[in-house]
Amino acid sequence: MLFLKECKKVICSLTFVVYAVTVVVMYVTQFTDVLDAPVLPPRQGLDYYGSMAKEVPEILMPAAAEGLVSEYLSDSYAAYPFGIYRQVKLAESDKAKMADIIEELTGISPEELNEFEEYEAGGYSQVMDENGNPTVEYREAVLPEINFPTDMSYDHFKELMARVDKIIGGGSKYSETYIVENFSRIPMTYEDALAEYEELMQDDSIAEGYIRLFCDYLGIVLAIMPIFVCVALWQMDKKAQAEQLIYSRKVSTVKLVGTRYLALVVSLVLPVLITFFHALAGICMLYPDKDIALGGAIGLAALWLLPSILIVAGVGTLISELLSPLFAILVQGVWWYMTLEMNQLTGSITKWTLILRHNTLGEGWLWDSEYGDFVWNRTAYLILSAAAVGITMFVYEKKRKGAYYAQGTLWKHHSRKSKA
Amino acid sequence: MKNEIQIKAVNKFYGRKQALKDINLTIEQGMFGLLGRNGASKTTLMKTLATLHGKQSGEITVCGIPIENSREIRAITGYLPQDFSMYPSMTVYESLDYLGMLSGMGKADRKEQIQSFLKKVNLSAQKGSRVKSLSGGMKRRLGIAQALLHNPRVLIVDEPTAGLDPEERIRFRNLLCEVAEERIVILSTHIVGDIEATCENIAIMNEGEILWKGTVSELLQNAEEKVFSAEVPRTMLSRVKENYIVTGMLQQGEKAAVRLLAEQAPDLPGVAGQTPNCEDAYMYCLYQNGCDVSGGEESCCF
Repeated sequence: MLFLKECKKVICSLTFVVYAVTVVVMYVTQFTDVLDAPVLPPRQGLDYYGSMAKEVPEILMPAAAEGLVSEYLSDSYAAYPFGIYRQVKLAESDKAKMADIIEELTGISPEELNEFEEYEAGGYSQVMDENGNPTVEYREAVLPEINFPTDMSYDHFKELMARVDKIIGGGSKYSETYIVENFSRIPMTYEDALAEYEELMQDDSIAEGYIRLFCDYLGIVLAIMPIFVCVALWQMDKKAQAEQLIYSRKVSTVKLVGTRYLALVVSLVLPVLITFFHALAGICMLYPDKDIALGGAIGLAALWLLPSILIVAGVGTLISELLSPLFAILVQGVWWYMTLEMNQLTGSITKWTLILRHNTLGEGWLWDSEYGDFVWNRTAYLILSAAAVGITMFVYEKKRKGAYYAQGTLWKHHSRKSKA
Repeated sequence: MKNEIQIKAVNKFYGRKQALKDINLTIEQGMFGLLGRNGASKTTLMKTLATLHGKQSGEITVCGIPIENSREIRAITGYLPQDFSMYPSMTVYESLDYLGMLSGMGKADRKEQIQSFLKKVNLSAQKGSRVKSLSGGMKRRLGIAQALLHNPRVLIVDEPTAGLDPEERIRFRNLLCEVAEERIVILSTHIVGDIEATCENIAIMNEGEILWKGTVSELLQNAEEKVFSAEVPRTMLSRVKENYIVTGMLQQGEKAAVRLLAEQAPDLPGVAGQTPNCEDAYMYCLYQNGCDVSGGEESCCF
């Protein structure tokens, strides 16, 4: 069976061994700690139970206004259009519009704002303590005095924020999607923490919490490592100088490319499956009295991780065949790095983010609020993967008929000469 | 359907460069030799017949099937490329099994055919050896086995003997002759000896054109009374090379025995007419068609 032969080619390669080891190492070093002991209910009387995002206009409005002033003064706005980080610098005309909105929000005139020279960005920075040891310190931003109008309605504020987001170009901190997460975090009370614990301990959500964390870690590896296995498989023919032999066989392009892609995906899934079932067994042993919803856990993991494998393998296959394997690795590397760098540990699930993050067992409320985007994201990547494989079939068929020559890529089409 | 390949007015370009120029050829069952220098576009023609290259104009039918029906053509064609190679870590048996699978062969059929062809190409003892451990000759034999595995009606072999030692070369040529009994075998080469030993029908290509087509005897006949030998002083050698096409030279002390091509008997010491061999005839053909044949790789000793 061709499928099994292709699987053997993948699994017997060195890159696959490296991939499998990376998956296992990631799982063991990052995830297995949570399987050591069951989650305990929160203790009463603690000072801090974590924080949560909750839409509280009284907190949100002044905080957002402060954030906007800070970004205006630094002349740099963070935005995540399509889930990808972008630093936005406004044109002079947009700056003027922004200054007018800030005046309405804070009472600071554009002239005052532009003449404010003491501005310093806030945030965490490393400083030396009295013993000369490095330590991390939080510093408030130095901003002009902000007087948020007490009579501003929340609806009007939201209108202003929509205008701000439009000026920035969409996907900013002030957009409807991100504003609560960014500017309305409140400390959790004991009751909130207990409610979160009880929600996690429900039979149908206990495994979900653990599997989310499992997928959070594995998702990072699966957004990059499959590219190496993928490129190695598609390079095998070229490296062995067997391309023409393969091209000249009767097998249809759809069958050959489809079977190879399927074999690649199935092989890549194998180490994930092993770690997944190990994790699932660990969860069941941790909570022997609970009726763990295995179906839901399997479904969640499949919906989270399979599209990651499919898209990396699909895009890698396409770029390898169309351009070059090195370029495929470069594209995937940049995509992976940018997504990982810009993501927060939780609350980073958008419609286009490659690496989805939910790095905690709890915060089910956040997960629920992001679930729509999660399903949209994964479905979109499934469709894109299918499209990438379809285009690869087209390109491969063209190559079989000499369109790009036997060893060539699109770029080499007009440069190579026949050996004959 | 008759085993026959028909090529009519085929043209092919690589960008602006014309690789095949108005090729017209009919190839029937048996061994067919395609002879030409390196860069004559033999490989381009071979690849076009193996559906690995397209053409810009003209018509090709293989056993009655238009070349555009690539899947059908691939089902009846075996191809051994110039630089045959397979996955180095696969065993000989696994390689054949994999390629047989890509040719759409069933499991039982593959098993039977692989055993039979391994025996035929004398590789039964190496069936468990990895491809990377095979010698050059063994690899070529594996190449011919893979090309014949699905019992094709057409076998295309591109420069199969380059780099083989004389013994392997003879063995390989005999093998090709054997398999040509029931199919079309197209042998592309720049080694005249391979053609002479195996093919009845040949075509000579140069710069994308067919210079000559016919039988080997017709090629030899064409060069009759054009081949001479002479014994000249070594000091005269450079003048002889300037004025004639020298196809062989053997230096003996102060003298040199030369074999040369000329329209008429040259005025040289010890000149005598010779029966043309295939190399002489090939060189004469090139010369007759205006090709530059002075010195270079085509000359050899006798």
